[in-house]
Amino acid sequence: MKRLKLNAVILLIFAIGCAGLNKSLMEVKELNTVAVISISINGEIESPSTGKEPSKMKSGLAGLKAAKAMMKGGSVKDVLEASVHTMENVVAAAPPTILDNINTSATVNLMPLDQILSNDAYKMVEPPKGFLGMQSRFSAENWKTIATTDADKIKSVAKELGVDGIMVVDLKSRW
Amino acid sequence: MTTGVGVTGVTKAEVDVTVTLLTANGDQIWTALKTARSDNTTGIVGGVYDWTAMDEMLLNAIDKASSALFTDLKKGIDKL
Repeated sequence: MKRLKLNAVILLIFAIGCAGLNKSLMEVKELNTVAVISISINGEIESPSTGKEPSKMKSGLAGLKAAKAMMKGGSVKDVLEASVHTMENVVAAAPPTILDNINTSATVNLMPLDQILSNDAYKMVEPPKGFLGMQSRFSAENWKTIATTDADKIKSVAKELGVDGIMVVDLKSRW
Repeated sequence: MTTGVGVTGVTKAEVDVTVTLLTANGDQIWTALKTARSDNTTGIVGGVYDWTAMDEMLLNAIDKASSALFTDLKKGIDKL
């Protein structure tokens, strides 16, 4: 009897879990236009060995922390700090001076969710050489991109465009 | 790979891709994580990094992880 009760409890928990999952997916399904917030970082990295020939590196990174900072009304500084924190995973070898040479901009990209999920759109574009990031993997034709470093402007643009949802892509790389 | 001066060797890239979907109000409704490793490798000679090759390795890994995430999400939605 005890085992039956235990099984019943486990089944109940499982059912509640499934219901929660389906509820989330239902909510996702209701999203039509999704804004993808991404942070682009352009910087020059000096070669650790020679220090003479800087290697150009562009990174299109979307950090969850950065997006959350924007959603919560964080300042541009908050966004940049979160971006740099994300970037640290990629440029662990960069000298501290790189932080002085970084140009950062944020973009709001819009796309219907079904196109994102189709994978075709995702694979449509070959990124330029040396460009790292998610946004370059989507077809530029299907995106509305607003380049700005002003967090308030990003939020207001997303609002103006009347998006249903926001997608945040967080990348953490290991070599 | 250990990054630093004088590193010589061949390495692969590994990437964790987390995709999170929020409502316009900022409520989190879905999140998932995939890890992928790049297929190819690149050489680092005398501490000079080939950033382009590294970027491409990362992109390949990001491609794999993201495609898998979106496929899983689409399958889940299609089952509803």
